Amino acid sequence: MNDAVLGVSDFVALVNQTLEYAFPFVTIAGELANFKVSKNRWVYFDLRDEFSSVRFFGTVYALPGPLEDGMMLEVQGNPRLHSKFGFSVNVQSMRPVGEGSIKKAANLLEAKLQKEGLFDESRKRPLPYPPTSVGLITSKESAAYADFIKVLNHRWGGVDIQLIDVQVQGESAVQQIVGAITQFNQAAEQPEVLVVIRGGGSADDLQAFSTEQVTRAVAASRIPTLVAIGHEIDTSLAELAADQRASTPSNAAELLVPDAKDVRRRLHDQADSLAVFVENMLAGQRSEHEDTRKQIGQLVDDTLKAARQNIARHRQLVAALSPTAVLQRGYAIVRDQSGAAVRSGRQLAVGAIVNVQLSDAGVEAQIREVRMEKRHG
Amino acid sequence: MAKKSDDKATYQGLSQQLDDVMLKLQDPNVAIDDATRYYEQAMQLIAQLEEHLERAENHVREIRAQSSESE
Repeated sequence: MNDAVLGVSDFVALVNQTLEYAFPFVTIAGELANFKVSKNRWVYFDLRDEFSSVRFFGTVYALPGPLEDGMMLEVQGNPRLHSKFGFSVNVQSMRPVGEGSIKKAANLLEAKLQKEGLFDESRKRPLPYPPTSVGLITSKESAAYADFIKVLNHRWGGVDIQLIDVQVQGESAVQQIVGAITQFNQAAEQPEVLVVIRGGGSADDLQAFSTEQVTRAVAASRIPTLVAIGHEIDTSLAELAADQRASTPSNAAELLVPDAKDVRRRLHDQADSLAVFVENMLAGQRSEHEDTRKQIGQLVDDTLKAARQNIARHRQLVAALSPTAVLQRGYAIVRDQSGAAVRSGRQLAVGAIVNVQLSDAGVEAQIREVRMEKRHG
Repeated sequence: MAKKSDDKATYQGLSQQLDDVMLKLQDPNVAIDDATRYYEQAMQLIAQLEEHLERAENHVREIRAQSSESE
């Protein structure tokens, strides 16, 4: 065999057979170098360490996000000898490793998504407050889930919670989280708000929530989103893309619904001030009525008094005009035998008997002489 | 001009009648017998007006008493 002469293609086939048998799948970690994307589809790069360098080839679909030379990567793939381009590892998946590289990758991705406008304040929608239904995406076994439910129920009852239980770290986390967001958005009866939560962990543990896929899924959700990942100091890209971010899962519950105790107290306060307002209004009305009543009373009294004075005045006037009053002043009424008042001397004849009425007596008299007086004018 | 009988019964109507009678009574040419008759009429009208007023005052007192009871 050692002496056999192989054609070039045979050699390539033999090497590939051997590689497939010996290393069907390898995971290699190293520093990224010569990173290049061709035609927006093909990716070429090297991984190297102090002594060696290995060539890799793959598609953009395997990229975890923007990459830069110098980052530490862990790449899984199949080693192959290409018939024209020589040896390379065909990339299946790749991820940044080491805090420095993860941070660097995250920064690059954040800058890219920022530039696209995914984190813009203008995209943020208000969450319904309080919502009647919530689509919850988290691990059912997590403390985050327990905390969220406990705080939510303690503050406000009656919220319909639909849970999609997902892995929040590990290989399938990204796919499950994106799938859950999609599923809620495609549901016939959508919840009013989507809540994505996860408790604290290392940067590696929280990695899924800073991937491009999850961040884009959160940004694309038609249902408004509330995302809380890790502790207060952690900020994932998914949180930046969410309509609202909470510092912890408990804080998410606090932001989502009001505290019924506060609401009840506020309502009581409002009811109290309303009662005071109404009482004041009634007291005002009562005093206004009292004033009106006094005014009307005064008016009636004045009217009656004026009428009384008017009658008294008339009585005095009539008394002054009474014929009896005239008699008291010394005048007398002369009547003939028929009782008719005598107004002229022409009505009298000498010898006639007349009755003279004085103020205090009637006198019978006989006419002795009639002297007619000349009238002037 | 003849007054409507309705008017005669009211304070206003009686008051108008009194004014009419007063005018006649104050006429310097009024006959003594007429004057006596007008005088009598005037005194009757005044008595009627006083009755009316008395009733009105009593009514007001009743309304005040009822209103203070209901408070």
